[in-house]
Amino acid sequence: MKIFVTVGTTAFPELLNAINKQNIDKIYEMVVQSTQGDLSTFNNAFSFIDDIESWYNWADVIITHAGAGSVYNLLEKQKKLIVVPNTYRQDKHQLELANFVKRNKLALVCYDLTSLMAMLEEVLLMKFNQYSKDDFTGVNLIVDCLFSKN
Amino acid sequence: MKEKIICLAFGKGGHQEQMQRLIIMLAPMLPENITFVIITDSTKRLIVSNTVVAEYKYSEARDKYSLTKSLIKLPYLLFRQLYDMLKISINYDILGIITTGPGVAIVPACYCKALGKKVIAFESWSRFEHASLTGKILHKFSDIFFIQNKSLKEVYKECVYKGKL
Repeated sequence: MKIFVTVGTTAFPELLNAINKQNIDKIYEMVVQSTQGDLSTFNNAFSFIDDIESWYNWADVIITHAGAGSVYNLLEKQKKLIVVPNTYRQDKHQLELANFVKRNKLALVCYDLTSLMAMLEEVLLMKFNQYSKDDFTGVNLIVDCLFSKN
Repeated sequence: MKEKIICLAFGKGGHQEQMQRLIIMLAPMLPENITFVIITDSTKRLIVSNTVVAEYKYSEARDKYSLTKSLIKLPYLLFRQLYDMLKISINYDILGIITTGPGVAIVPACYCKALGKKVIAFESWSRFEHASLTGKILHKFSDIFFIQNKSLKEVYKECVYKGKL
């Protein structure tokens, strides 16, 4: 199983530490993306890349922070995901998206980092609902507003 | 005559992703003479077909791990953004500002409103139950305030739902 880990632009050392502690990259083929933190403990890691899409395509399973940019992109690609909300931040808003994902059975959500390995063992076998959304239709409203006199 | 511009204000990560998706839809609908000024805390380039005449980059308004650091940084950001907005308004004819948040957009949006320009704001697509701090502020004076999850209709009195970016 090929695993890609992404934490976007915000530091999430707790997730990286959990992966290390559970020796996940010793058991599975794994690539880690994190813009911050010590990546030297991983066999294959990078801080930032323009072509992150190629790693999304490469992976069988993606462990992602619950940042909306990453999560929505990956749900649209119908990837098998383990979503990990970063509750160590000042604001806890990643929980809202994580709860949405869990409520709609779109992916696995990991609230307890010690259960990461157990989730990896079950994620490929699980069936998830397909993500769908109302596409944005407000562009004309924006244009009308910008060019109206009042 | 001054060049007509639209300010695009957005933060890094998901905020930029929302702006990127919006601009792909919006840019073809705009007259060719409209250009953009970018206001951001992101280091990644926004891909736009229209000309970008200026780009203002700032550090993040809020430290995600420390309230104290945020409070220390905010006055500097406030004055720097006010100065930059003054320059923008002297050099260009601002049509309005569009923002997908977060805090980097607050001062520029307030400045545009004070000049009588249009303010169009999006609550983050990651919000389902609670308003963001930026959303709470911008909602009070935006000409259009978009929510991207219907559940937020119970949170905001006046908002527009037109789907998700």
